[in-house]
Amino acid sequence: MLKTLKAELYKLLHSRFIWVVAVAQLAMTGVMIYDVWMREAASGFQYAIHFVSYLVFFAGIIVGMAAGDDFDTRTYQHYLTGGKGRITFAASKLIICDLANLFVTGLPILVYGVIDICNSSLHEFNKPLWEVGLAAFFSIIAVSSVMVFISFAVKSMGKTIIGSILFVIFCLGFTGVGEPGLQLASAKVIPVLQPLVISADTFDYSVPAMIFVDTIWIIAAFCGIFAVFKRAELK
Amino acid sequence: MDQIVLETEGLSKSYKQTQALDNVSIKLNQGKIYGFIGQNGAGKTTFMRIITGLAFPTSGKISLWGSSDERGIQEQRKRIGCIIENPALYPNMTAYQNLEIQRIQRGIPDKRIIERTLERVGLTDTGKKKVKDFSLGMRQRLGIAMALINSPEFLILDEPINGLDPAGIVEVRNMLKALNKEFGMTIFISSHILSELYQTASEFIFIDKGKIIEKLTERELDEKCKRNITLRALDPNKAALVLEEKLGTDNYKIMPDGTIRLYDCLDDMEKVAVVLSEEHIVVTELKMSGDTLEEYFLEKIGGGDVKNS
Repeated sequence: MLKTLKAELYKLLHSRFIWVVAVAQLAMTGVMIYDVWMREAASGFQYAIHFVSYLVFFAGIIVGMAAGDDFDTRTYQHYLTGGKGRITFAASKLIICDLANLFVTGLPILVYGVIDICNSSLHEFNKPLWEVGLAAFFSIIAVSSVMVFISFAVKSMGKTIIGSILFVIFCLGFTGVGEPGLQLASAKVIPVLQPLVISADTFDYSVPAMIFVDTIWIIAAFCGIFAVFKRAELK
Repeated sequence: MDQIVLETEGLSKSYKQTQALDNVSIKLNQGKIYGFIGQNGAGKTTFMRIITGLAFPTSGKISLWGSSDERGIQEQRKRIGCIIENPALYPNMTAYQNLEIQRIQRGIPDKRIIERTLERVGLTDTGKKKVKDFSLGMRQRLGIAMALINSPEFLILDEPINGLDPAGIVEVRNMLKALNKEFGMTIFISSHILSELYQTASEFIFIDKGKIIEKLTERELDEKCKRNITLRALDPNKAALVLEEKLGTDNYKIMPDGTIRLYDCLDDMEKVAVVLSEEHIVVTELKMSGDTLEEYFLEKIGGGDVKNS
C-alpha cells in the first residue's frame, strides 16, 4: 500500500488542480471573511472554520479529479492489473483524497489563524484550541470520505463533483429543517454542518462525541466503497 | 517441458442475456507468442479483462504460474504487463510522468528504466508535451511502454497496433519478437490486423461467440491454409530435381499445368529463388499462395467482417 500511496502522492503533487483549488478556496474564504469584517469585528480564524460548511464543495472537486477521474481514464487498471488488491487501491485513494482535502480546506483556517495571531484578534474559544482544531479536522475527513465513496459509486469525475455538491446542499438543508433544537442536534452529527457548531462556540457540544460520530461516517464510507468496488466489473 | 504461464478451465462469463465466454479452456506456455483472433464481440477483451482482474468469471478456473487461489493470482499479476482496450494514460501528464507513476507503484528502484523504456518504444523526444496532445500512435506507444516498464514475464496486449503507421507496426512487431527472443517473454496479443498477427505470433487461438473454436501452431496453420510457394519454370521437372537435391525437400506437388507447389521453405522464398537461379532454371513465376490467416479465419466462422468498422 505504501507504493500505491507514493504513486498517488506523486500524481497529486504534479497535478495543477490541487494548487488551483487551494488558492480558489483561500480566496473565496477571504472574500467571505472580508464581507463579515466590513460589518463587525470578527476573528478570521473563527469564520474560516464557519465557512468550511459552505465551501466544502471544493472538496468534491478535489475528489472528482483525484479519484473520479481515474474511472474516466481507466488508470486504475495499472494498479489492479499489476497485482494490487482492490481494497488497497481504494484505501489509498481514500487516504490521499482526505489528505488533499485537509490541505485545501485547512489552509484558509491556518492562514487566517496566523493573521489573527499577528493582529491579536484570535477568538478565544470556550474549548481548548487543540480540541477545536481536532473537531474541525475530523469533520473535514468525514466529509471527504463520503465524497470518495460517491466517486467509487458513480465512477466518473463529473458525476462525483455533482454528487458531492448535492450532498453538501442536502446537508445544508438540515440547518433550516424543524425547530432550532432539531437543527442543532442534526448539525452535531452531520460532518458538513459540524464546522458551524464549532465556530459558533455558543452551543454545548462534546468534541469526543463529535469525533466518534465522524469516525462512524468514515468507517461507513469505507464500507460503502468496499461494497461498490470489491466485485465491480471494470473496463 | 515448458512452464505453463496461464491456464483456464471451463471459464465462462455471462451478462444477463449474453454469454460473453463459454467454457474457455486454454493453456499458454512460457516463451511463446500467441495470437488471439476473433471478431468484434467474440469475447477477446472479456477474456483479457478476467485474466487481469478487471472482471470476474461466472464460472470456471484460472491459474497463473500454477496459482489458482485469489491471493495467489493477485500476487502473480505483478509479473504481467498489459494493455486492455485503449491505453489507460494520465492525459495531463507527460510521457515521463506517466511512466514515473508506474515505476513508483510497481516499486522499481531504478529511474533509468523510464528513459530506456521510452527509447524502446520511440518516445524519447516528447519532452514536456502532455499526453492529451499526443497523436493516437504516440498514445499507443506510451501504452506499450507502460506495459513493459516492469519487464513483465507475461505481456497481454489488446489491439496494440491500432493507430500505428506502417513503420510503427513493423517496429512493434520487431520489438515484441525481440522481447520474446531475448527474455523469453510470453506474449498474448489480440488484433484485427490478421496479416500482421500472422507475422508476429507463433501460435493462434480462434474465438467466436465466446467459444474457442481452434488452437493452432504456426506450422499447423500453414498446413491448414495449404500455404505454399507457387512457382512456374520453363522446365518443371528439372526445377523439381533441383528442389530435391539443393533444398533437400520432396514436399512438393507438380500440378497438371506444370506449376510446382512447394510446401517447405515457406519462410525463405528468396533462398528458393537463389537456388533455382544458380542452377540456371528459368523461373517465370514465384509467389506465396494459399489461404491467408484472414481467409482461413473467415472460413472457420462462416464469413463475417473481421476488420474494425
